[in-house]
Amino acid sequence: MANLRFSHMSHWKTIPYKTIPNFRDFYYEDKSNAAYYSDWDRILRYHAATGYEGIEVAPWDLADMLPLFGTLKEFAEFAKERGVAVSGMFHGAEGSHDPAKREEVLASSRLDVDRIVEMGGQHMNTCPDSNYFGVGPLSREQVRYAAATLTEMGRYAESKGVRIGLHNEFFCAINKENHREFIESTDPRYVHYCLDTAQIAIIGEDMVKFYDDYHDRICTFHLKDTASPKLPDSVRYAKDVEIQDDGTRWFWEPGEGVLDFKSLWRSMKKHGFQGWVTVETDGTPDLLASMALTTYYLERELGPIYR
Amino acid sequence: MSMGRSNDEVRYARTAKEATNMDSNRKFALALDLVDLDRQEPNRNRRESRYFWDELFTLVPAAGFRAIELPYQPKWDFGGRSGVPMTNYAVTTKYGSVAGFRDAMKAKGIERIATVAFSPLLFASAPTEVYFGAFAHFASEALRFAAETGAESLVVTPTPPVGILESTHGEASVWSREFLKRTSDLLDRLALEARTTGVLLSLKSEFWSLLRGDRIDTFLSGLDGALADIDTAHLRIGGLEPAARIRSLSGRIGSVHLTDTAFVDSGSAWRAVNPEFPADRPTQVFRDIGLGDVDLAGAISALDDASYRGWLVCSCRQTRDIYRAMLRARAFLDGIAAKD
Repeated sequence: MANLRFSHMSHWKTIPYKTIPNFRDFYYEDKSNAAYYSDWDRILRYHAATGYEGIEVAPWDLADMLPLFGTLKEFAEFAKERGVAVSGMFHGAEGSHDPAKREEVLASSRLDVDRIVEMGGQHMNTCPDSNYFGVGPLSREQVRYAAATLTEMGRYAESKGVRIGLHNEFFCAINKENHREFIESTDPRYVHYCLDTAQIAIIGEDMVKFYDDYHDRICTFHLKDTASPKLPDSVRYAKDVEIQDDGTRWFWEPGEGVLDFKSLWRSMKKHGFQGWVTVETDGTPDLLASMALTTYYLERELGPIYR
Repeated sequence: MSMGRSNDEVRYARTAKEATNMDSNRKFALALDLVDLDRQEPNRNRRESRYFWDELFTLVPAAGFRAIELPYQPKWDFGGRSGVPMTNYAVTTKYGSVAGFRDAMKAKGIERIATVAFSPLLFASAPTEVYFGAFAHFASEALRFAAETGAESLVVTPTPPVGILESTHGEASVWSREFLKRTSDLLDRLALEARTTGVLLSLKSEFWSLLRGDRIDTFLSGLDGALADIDTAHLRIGGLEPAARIRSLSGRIGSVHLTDTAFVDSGSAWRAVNPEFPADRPTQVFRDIGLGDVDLAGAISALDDASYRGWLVCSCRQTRDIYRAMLRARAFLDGIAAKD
């Protein structure tokens, strides 16, 4: 049995249909490719066909998914029928450093944990705080408060069989100067880590060294490449930096950027990582092509090292 | 053409002078709802970048449109992404100010923001108090934005689809009376505010709305200072012929959307949670202009007869291809002009 199970982060935005039973007629209406990416039936089949056993959903997808499926459990069963499991869901703990927002942050977290349980997922990959711009730099007290909030979130999640994986965005208030301190301020029994390979590199960490240092905390991955590691503070801390005016992409498919995934795979083998690895290709103009391109890389380039 | 203009006059009306030439009887604008960031393409990241919009603003005049309708979408105020210039926050972040945005568009050849559109759809599933609070806040913000951009009218969708509301609140007959009363109060205040800004307030009747078809007439009669929007495809799907509807309104028209469809609601698609995407038989409800079977020429003629002098906003809100849609709309308008 494989040690690694690949999932794919849903960045399809709004999928308006559960199924398209009149696929040919729908195609002929305008002869565009709309029929190919407008229903969950086909989107999930693409996952299975390109080697992804799982899908990681996003909380902002749910409002559109629920009217189609009735319940999240129904969605999970629909996906399972097509060979795809829900590996988990993303979550944002915006304001976790702020005592005034503590109850709101915890309630939102519990709600999303319950949703993940309903879908049979295992991971709640969690951005630990607000964006840096307008909030940062955080004081040490605020960092510790945020860590305590995440620990509290993790305590509930763990009791439900869900693992919180810290997922640091490169523009998050938890950033280069306090990232490791923050991790170490959380309780390792309840708070784990989702290693987003590109985000970590952009912050300024060495992806492989980070994995070696924290392998016992790392419960899952967001796997993506970047061509711009170690971005300066002036960029990372700027307003609304995630999407660049000139279309510069921070994220690329593994193998299309500059990160050393082969060394990471050797380290994962050394430490015996087992579990979900979520491929995330935000920024791509063609998700299906990115899924296939990544699978090729995972199979042919990394698979011989560890799978 | 009933107003007796020559072809040259009509063709002239779409060139540089069209946007500000008040002597022209017809003023055509292009609605930017033809960019659907949620459903048009898988992933939208590249269309959240400013470069995408800057290029679009260059191509809109190339397709013969020198005025636009801007959908005001509060969604872009959240999440730290300001590249989609559809809110005051996004525009001021990327262009410095609303005036800076207007100047940037003028430099590209877009002379005017003709109309601004606002829908409370984003908040439709929220608890009632949150819904009305957000509706009032952002509609007012959209109105101020419209005034600052020099838009002629603010086109407001008065209610989200019935189906979404029923999925949140239950059967409409139980709550719709009170809901519409609160909506009326809210829009009454907005109309009062609109009068102080000089922006016309216009209400859209969508086929999935609590105020679908001519149900909006009674609602409008209780408001002081709001006019009706004509949306040709919505009217057609709702069972009203646009030309007849235009005649029946006797000049009480605040804005016009030329939209096309071949969709027939033979059941209760209007009451679905997502009526724009009929679940039982997926179809493109709103076709690009000229590809449906709405009598748009008849509607335009009826508007001429009614001496309508406002903007005719071309909307291809469900297009599969932004750039083809712009050119299809232009080709259709050229065809109309050639026949006049």
